[in-house]
Amino acid sequence: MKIIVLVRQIPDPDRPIRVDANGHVDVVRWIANPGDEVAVDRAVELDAEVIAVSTDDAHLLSALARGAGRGYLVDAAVDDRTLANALVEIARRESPDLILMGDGEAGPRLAGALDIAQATLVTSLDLVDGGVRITRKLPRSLEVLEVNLPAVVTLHPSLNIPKLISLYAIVDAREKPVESLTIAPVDSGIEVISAETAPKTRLGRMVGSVDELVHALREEARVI
Amino acid sequence: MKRLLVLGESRTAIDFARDTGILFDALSLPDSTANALATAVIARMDDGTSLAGPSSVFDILARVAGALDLPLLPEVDGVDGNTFRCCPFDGRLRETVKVTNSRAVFSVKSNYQSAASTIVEPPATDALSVGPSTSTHLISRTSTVHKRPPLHEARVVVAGGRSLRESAQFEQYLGKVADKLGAAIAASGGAVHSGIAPSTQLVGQTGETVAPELYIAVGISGADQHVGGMQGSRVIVAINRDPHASIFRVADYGLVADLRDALPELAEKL
Repeated sequence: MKIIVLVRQIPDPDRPIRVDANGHVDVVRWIANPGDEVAVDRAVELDAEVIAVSTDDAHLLSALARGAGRGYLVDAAVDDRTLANALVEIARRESPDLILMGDGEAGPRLAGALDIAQATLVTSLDLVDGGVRITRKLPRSLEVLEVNLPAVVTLHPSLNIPKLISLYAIVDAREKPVESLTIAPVDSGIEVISAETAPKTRLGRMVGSVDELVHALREEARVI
Repeated sequence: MKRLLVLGESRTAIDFARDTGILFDALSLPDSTANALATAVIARMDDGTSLAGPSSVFDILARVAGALDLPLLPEVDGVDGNTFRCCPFDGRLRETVKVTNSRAVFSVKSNYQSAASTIVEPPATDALSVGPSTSTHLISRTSTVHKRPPLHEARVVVAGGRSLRESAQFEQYLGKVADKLGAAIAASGGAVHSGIAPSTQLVGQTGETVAPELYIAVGISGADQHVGGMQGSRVIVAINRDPHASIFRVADYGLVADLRDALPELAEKL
């Protein structure tokens, strides 16, 4: 059993994203996507050969410390389209049985590009003969499915609490093999004209009573 | 873009398609797996067709984007001529973009508001015919529908924090307001970690990200962790006893009050 796990970067939820006067977006700090770190934990529990893929050397190191056996360090932009292309290249080389990661665009995109099965929003995963048996958590139901391998499986965001890693594991991880891979950036096909961070400006109006609140929601915001 | 294919009978995706002014066909999706549906969708697209759908079918949209190597615009919430507004990074950034590729995939935000003021009859939708699913087999499906709508489909969300002290108070104070508004109930990290609300109700960076029309935060301090999961909401109301609570900084309407007084009154006056 060979599993590839993708460890992406996301903007640190506790740090701001800034946009300067020229519209240049500055993410103050990137962290490893917690959903992907949980995917590494799950892959290691399945007692498989685990290969971690990341665009960031520190995040790759922590995936190796979680128990991945070796890694690929991809020198590429962080957008999901370029990353999916990089993974197509690695998947063709490695022929994994399973590709595992947190929720997001990269998983189904990769499954489409490789033309293999996919399952998203997965909360549990067990190996069965010839495939995996998974549970998907949908807004209105729980689905149990059997998925043939090879497949791409993405985990439900509610699982996003990675295990803690020990310092010893980090020291050991430095000895594990890492291969560097350079991927030519693809034209995103999208031109960003402007960007802003605040999703919207909030009114920030204090009301003095429940009556005033109900009135504002009915007459001003027209939301009830 | 010459033509647009719209998936599902969702109002938001059809409104979006109309707002683009591009000629479109709408397809209803039968009950099948994402793999089989995506294959059938691709068979309906020629090289001049773009794809749009509600973000609830994101797994199909992203799979098609991967198979055809097309750009995908996440959480689209506006159209203006040939520019689109989308919200990457879980809605933390809002970008106005132009599509330079000859076609693209649009994932339309669940609270997309049409620019058009007139309500038009929905177009005739034609059912997508789907082949059997060969790589994915459904073993069972259990409904988890409760009397309230699921969190990220709800138009209104009423959320509570640790100050509700016990789970019975969640139902007692939030339940009545939620039922008056047809709302879902959510909880902050503080409430979930202290065991008074189930983790399925958790809204925040480690839980669900929601963007309803109205979000009412009750007794929630406003930690970044929680705010990150709800800041895309159209209107935010905060009710808190502490006038310095940081939740008021992200609210449209704030009320400094004890929730044990304010919520019963709110339930009565709605």
